[in-house]
Amino acid sequence: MGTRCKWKNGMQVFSGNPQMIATGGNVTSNQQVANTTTETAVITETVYGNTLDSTGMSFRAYIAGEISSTGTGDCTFTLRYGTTDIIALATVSLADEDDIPFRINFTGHVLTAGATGKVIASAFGEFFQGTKLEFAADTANTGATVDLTADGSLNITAHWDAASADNDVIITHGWIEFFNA
Amino acid sequence: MKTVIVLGMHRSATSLVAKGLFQAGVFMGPELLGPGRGNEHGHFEDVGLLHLNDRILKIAGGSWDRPPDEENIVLAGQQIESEIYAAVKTRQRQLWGWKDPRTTLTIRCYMPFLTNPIFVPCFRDPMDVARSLNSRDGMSIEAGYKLARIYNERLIKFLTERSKLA
Repeated sequence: MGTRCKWKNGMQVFSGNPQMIATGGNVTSNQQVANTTTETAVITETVYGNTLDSTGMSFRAYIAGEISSTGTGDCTFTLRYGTTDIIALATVSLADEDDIPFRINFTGHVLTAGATGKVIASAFGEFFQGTKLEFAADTANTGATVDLTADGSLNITAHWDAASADNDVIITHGWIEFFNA
Repeated sequence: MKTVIVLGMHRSATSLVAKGLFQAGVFMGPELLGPGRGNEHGHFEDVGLLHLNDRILKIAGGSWDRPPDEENIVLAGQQIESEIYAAVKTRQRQLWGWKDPRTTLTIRCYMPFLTNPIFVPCFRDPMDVARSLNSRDGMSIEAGYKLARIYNERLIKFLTERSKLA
């Protein structure tokens, strides 16, 4: 996580190291989850204890990439604080297509700070299937209880319902940003 | 002398940044590409370097929307290095620079001839880039996304290598 810095306009007090998972020619830096039902972290950001120390602070986790599918089974993306699930978003019903561009924005808010802190989140995904733009959203999240006073991490994981060589997701871009209340 | 180079994918606000540099007094080239479809306030692109970049990419076997391998681009640059040197030499000022998104692909060809280069990378959500290219050029969203990905990968690789050298 980056150095904490305050801005006079009060819009942003600190920012995590932006993680843009895209490097020229170095495909191993892209995060790929394929032919497995094993849940795999695709982006992780350390959150030091008491960084999210007041109600109303928020964060945005963004991933974008390309997804291929057999047309059966979803890929689910889960936002976690440490090992605690905050929100999960399944893909739209994927067609039997290759390299569908997509992006997902997770937005989280601190409802309660402290050792028994509460974080709620929403998730919004866009998938360009063929000539159609389709959306997946979860905006009815009830949140999760997490210890915001201890060092932890925010991460996004991906997992497939079914293992197939054609069930393949590659995260090429991603980052997590933190905002003041 | 300082050389300010705007890098980034097409449709990623490179023109906006170049305009800011231009207005701040940076010499951005003897002839700038003016307004056009999809860019009403001007491109602020050095026309001469735009054509030079097109030439490098063509020799390398590609174009701005069909990026050749990096190795081929470097080899192409070596073939016309006297032209690149001359282009740089005739533009040099105490504070000068240029913007052309193609430079994100060709920057390595210029490096031997630059004094105190300062890079200004521009990044825009690749999905928005793909939509913009679709709107302007009719490029498919899939192709636009892949193109944005290649430019961003090249950009990050170049800057990462530079930061390791620093």
